Amino acid sequence: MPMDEKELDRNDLQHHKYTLLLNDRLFIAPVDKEVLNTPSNRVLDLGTGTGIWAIDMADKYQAEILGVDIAATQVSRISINCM
Amino acid sequence: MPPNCQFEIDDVEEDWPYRPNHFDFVHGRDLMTAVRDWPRLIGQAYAHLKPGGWVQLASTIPDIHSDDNTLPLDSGYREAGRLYFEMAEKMGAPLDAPRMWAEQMRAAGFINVQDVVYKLPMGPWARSKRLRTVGRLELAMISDGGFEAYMLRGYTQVLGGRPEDLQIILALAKREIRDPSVHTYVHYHVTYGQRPQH
Repeated sequence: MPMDEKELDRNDLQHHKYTLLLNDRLFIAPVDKEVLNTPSNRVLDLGTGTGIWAIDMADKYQAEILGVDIAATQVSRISINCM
Repeated sequence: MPPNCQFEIDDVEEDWPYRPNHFDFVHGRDLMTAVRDWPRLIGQAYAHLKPGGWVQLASTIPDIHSDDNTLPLDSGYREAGRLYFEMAEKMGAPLDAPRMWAEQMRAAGFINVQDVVYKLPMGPWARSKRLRTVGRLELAMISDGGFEAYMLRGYTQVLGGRPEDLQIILALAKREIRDPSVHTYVHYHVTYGQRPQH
């Protein structure tokens, strides 16, 4: 699917949908919250899309969150947020 | 943008450019059709996780279920789902791949591997308020035209079908998913596992 603005909205709706489905959790694996709140620790988000999951994780925890994707859709998002 | 968040452009199907034993948690959601070699991806997750670190993969598997049999037997929605599976299979990225993740994680050396499967309703028919919202979002997303365009490309280019044939199937499917007496859901499949401490 082309990564246009509609697709970005889709990604964010999708994220909202999955978070609701998981009872407001960003993940269900029993990862120690203390581990996630240690700034030198690292989380990798594969196929991050708009980066919305990674951004939510970074808002919630202190670990470093790295989002990777084959397409640069987060970049447009970052510039929108930072301008 | 939170300062502890970074983005990089990379193909997760290539060799990962990170050090071994580097991450505490590796997460991947809705990578269907983006990943062809799951055992390789799971193996890379293992190598780049620290001992004790976790991997979690999640994806919707779009085969359509109805517990109360409210989907007609000649359903256009079910047919559209079947075509989607056929397209993905031909492209080398089968949509039921998540059902193999647990086995692939164990084979890679992960422990404490769990599959958790959620019912993801289509449309606002569920009893719980939360799931009604989920269903409303699912319906909104599938109705916005993006999915139709994607299906049309796949149907004509991958399966060699005629656009007018797909239009008939999709018109039926749209009517069914908007019909409040039709109660369907798909599976949201989550699998996680831990790299052993030692």
